[in-house]
Amino acid sequence: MKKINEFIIIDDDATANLLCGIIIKHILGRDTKIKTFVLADHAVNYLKEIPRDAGWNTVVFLDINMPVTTGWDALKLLDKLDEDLKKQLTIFMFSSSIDPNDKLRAMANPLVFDFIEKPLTIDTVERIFVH
Amino acid sequence: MTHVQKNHRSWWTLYKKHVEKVVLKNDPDHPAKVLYWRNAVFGSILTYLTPLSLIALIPSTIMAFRNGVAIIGFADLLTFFTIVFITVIPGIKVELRKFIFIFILYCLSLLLLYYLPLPGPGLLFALSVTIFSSLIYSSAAAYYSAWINTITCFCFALLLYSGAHAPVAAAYNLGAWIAVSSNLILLSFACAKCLDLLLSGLNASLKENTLAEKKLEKANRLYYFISQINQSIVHLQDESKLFHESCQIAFSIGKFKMAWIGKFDEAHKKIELLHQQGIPTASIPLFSAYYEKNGPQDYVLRSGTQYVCNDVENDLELQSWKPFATANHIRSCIILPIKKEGVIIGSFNIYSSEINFFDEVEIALLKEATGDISFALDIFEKEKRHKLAEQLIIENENRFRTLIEKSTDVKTLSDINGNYIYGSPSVTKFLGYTKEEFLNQSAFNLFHPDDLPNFKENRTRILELAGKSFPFQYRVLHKNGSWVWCEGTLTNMLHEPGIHAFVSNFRDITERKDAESTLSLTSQNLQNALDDLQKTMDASLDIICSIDEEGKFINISKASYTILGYHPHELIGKKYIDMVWEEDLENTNQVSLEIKAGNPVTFFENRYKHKNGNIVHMLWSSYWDNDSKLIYSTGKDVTERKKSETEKEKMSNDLMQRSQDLEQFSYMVSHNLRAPVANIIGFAELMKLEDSGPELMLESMKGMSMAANKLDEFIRDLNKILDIRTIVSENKEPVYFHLLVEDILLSIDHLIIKEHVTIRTDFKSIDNILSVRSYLYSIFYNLILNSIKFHKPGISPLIEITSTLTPGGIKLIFKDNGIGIDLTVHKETLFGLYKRFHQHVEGKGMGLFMTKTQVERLGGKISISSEVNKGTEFTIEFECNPL
Repeated sequence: MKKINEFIIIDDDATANLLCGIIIKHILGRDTKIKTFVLADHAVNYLKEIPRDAGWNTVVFLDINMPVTTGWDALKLLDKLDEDLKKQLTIFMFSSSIDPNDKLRAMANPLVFDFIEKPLTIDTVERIFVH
Repeated sequence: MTHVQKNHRSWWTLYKKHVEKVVLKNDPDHPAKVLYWRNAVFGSILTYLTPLSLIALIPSTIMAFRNGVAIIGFADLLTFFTIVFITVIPGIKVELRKFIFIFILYCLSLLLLYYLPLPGPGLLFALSVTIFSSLIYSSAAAYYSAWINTITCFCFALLLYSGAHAPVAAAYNLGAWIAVSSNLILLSFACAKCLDLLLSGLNASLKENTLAEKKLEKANRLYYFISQINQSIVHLQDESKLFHESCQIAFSIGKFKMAWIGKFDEAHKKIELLHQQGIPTASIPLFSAYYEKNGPQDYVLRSGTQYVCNDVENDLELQSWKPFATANHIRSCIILPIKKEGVIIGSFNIYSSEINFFDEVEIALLKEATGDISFALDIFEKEKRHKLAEQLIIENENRFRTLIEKSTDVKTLSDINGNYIYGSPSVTKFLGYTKEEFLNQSAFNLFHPDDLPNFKENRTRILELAGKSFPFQYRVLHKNGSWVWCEGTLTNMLHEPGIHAFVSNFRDITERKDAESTLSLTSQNLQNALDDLQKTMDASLDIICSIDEEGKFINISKASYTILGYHPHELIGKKYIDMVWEEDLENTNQVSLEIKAGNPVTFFENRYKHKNGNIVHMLWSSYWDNDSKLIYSTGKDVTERKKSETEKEKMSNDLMQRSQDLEQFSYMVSHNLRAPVANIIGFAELMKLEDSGPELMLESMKGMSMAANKLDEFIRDLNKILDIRTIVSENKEPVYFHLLVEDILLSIDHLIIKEHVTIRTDFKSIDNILSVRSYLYSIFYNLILNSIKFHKPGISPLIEITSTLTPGGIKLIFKDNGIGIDLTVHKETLFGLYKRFHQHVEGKGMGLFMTKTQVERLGGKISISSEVNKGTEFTIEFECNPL
């Protein structure tokens, strides 16, 4: 896996955000850059501003079940970004849903790198980002 | 001898031919002109003068040389050779020859007068010049010549008077000369005058001859023209062809400039060109035109006689037509009426390039020709009618024959004694006799002995009454010996020309007679069967009926009373359609058409009005019987079944709703219930880590606590939802809307003040409802709070609540001036649980879900209409009766 510059967590569940932050920092170090967004629109606006650099890698955790702009809506917004920028993003759909349809739908989207079932665990983070 | 003579003549002929050729060469003149004859005379003079002049030449030349007047000898020779020269040499114009001829003769005359002591020869030549001038030039030339002679004589007189030494002076003194010469002058003038008279007579007769010839030719042409037209009439049988031929003949044989036939259209004052010859193609359209009032065509049409114009150029009446006439060199014209059976139908127009062409004779001839054309048209018409009449006769005869011969009826003619004289072909079929056999029969032998007296009586009765007839039903003997029942009439037509017989017309009714006898036997059985049938019908629970073409009941079973409330006798003669429920009229009429088209209908459902006004659902099966022209139907009352069906439908709808609700619920659980659980699991994992320090532990504890609270909150919500989802068990009570609103406003007083909320209510129409107060409170509370929450920033919320009475119950409308919502996007999920549509406002997304659930629990419906930035309007409808 490429070097990760920052983590973006988009979830309206503040508790889940807290848990994510703790686990990621615990595995990848205290200095790991993590930004959390409760509203997907704000996150998309932020992502538009990340440094344009082929080597830059932003990992996005995108929750599905959010009010106003859902995870699916957010994917549509991200798809409108320019191609170069999209290549700089590694998007994980991130949900407490145990509905297999959600997983299938997420994997069908070319923007989505993988589907992670909540809660985020140390094993998952180590499997994806360390190994 | 003969041979020599022939030879001599051929020489003479050759000479004559030669002279004719050289002198009269290139003569363009016509024999009818005088000049031609003058030239011919000139030619003849030259022809004969040459040989004859030798008679004078030889002695006079010899004498001249012998007497010492050599000049005369030379002059004679010169004159002779000059004449020979102009006689035989070709290539000289005839006028020049004439001039040389006259000139040389004059010269000779003058020389002779001058040199000879005798005046005779000179004066003779002078006179001959005058004669020749008259012959070969003109009468006027003869007079000139006479004058020249006079002047010559006068000159010689002066010569003598002056006493000059001239030969002539030696022979004459002045007196003698005057005496001699005056004779010449007298003779010259006399000759000129006589010849003038002679030749002018010739001239006149020649001219007359020419004119007569011309006229003859013209008349011949016209006669030929007529005969051609008559020929065409004989061999043509068609109007159009005749017209065409007539134009063609006028043009090619009559040598007219143009000829055309037009047809009058009196109603439109128009003439239409039918056929033409000689009209330039470009001008043809000009000939189908409106004719001028009082114009030539109009004149012909009204007067029925021809119109003639013999000088087109100077005819004032034809002003408008003149440019065409001038351009095409038309100088005279005639228009003749063409009649068909006495009526003028068109005109024959003939144009000539000659002025004054149509004189009386021509007009008469052309009238005759046109008359012949009209006559031919009459014949065509008669022929046509004749053919039609013939056709009609043939058709009628065929029809009549077919009618008789193909008829199933028997037709017979019998004479006054009862003997058959005619039998239609059906005789063989019905009675077995061949035609010959039948014609040997007598009517009296063929009828049954029992019927004979009646027949005889009736026949005698009408014997003297022409045209009378009587009907009969008799038994007639078949060839095979059986009796055939026949029904028909016998008519007396003895006095009818061409018939002279009794005419009988009858048919075989044996079968009917047999049927009649069996009918009386079976009718009682039939009546019994019918009664049974009626009883069976009346026993039926379903309606059994027959309906005529107009839709009127002919018969209906007693079930009509139990089902529709009408007794059968109330319905018979009435139209079924009058009892059909209005909404089903169209459908029913359509099905009825289908039935009448021969398609039986089963399981057709429609609604009827019971006598008491209720709806009755009927299930029909019907078919159309083409023989009786009736619709036979059975109708079952399915009202009860319909009711239970409706209920079933409602139940299944409810079930569907429930199942959808459940699905939604499970979705909600999977997302919202599992989220806090997942978080708790997550933090628990962290706490289990061996290397987790106190800091991580503390954070995990905090997180786990947050998650646990979330879970608790959700379970409470769930409880609330499940609570209202249970069947309404609370007692219904009268709830007053205005009191409800007052209570709510009191409870959110601080919010009202803070947000400057204005609430307007209008419960004038209906102010109360029998319902569950707590639910209604919750509905009002949520909707009011919703409107306040989603107000437009900077604008104070205005909420209007109205109640109205509807046919089915009560309608409540909540209207605000808030930010609204885009229904095109959110319509589906608007009332869903945990659905939120605005980011700036706090909320869990439960309000509208709860409201909807509660409205539905109370048996109502909620709907929304909204426009972004304009406001939202919720409408709630309760199906209940007001207090």
